[in-house]
Amino acid sequence: MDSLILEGTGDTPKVVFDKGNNHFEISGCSLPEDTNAFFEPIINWLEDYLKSPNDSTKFEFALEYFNTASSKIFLDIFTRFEKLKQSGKQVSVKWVYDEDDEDMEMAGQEYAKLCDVEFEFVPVEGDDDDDF
Amino acid sequence: MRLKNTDDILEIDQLASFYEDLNRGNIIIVHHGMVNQELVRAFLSLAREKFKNTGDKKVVKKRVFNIMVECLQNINRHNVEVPNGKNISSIFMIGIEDEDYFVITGNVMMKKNVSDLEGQIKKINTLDLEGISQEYADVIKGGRIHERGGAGLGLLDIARRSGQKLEYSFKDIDESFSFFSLMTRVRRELKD
Repeated sequence: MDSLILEGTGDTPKVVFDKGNNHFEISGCSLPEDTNAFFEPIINWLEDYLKSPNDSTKFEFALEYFNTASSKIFLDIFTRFEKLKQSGKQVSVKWVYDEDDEDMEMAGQEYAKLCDVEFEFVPVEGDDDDDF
Repeated sequence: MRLKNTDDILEIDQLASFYEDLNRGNIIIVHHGMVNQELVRAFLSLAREKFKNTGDKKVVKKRVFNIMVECLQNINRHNVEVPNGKNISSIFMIGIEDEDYFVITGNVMMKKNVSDLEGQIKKINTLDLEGISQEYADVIKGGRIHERGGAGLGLLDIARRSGQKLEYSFKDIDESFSFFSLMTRVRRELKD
């Protein structure tokens, strides 16, 4: 299937969904004006992927900010990962966050509680406090 | 801003006192007008500039950012038009005091929606942080995204990041419209 690759902007995330290279990533900032419209092709791609997934899939989420409308959609995405797991495939989420950003860490932990998918938490060293 | 020497709009010699008011209120960004996504982006980069050298932790500044985005996108989503066809403008301000950042928004809304919104805020203000997080989880699990993009989550997220009670007021404009003001504070110091 074709890869879905979107360059990030100031208010939309970078998206790489590449089945061939087994690379799945959403990163950057997610505060689009019309969140549902922005994510519709991404959800559709995932729906297609669920029909013929790789044996093992690791989704990387590495976000700086996201708005509440995005947070609801991320849960929709994680719910689809659950389906993948239920179908017998291996699936996990790599939640990458700035080590100083306790809110982003907590957001990942909340998702981990809300869905039955394995989460791996990966703190990374951020830029200094004035450069964000 | 229009500055004319008439009784009903700002007079030119009042500009100095307006300036003083902004200074005294520690206001670093003020906007009056329509809000759209381009402006949201512009305010984010302006705030990023203004928050430099404050010495505050990145997580604190990010909280203010998140609150800004939710407030502005709420205004953008719920902007109402008055019957004369003129788009109603809103007010948006950010300030920094010794202990807090604060974000203030003011916008016109339909009076018939006031009791619903006020009920939501009152309920949130009765909850502690754990209660707010629980409510947030319940809404994203079960809540349907509102057709205009909201999911009742914005205020919960604002309250959670603030860690303080939401300050608000409603003032009737006429029989159909009300002016809604919201002030959200964010502590500059992180609690241990």
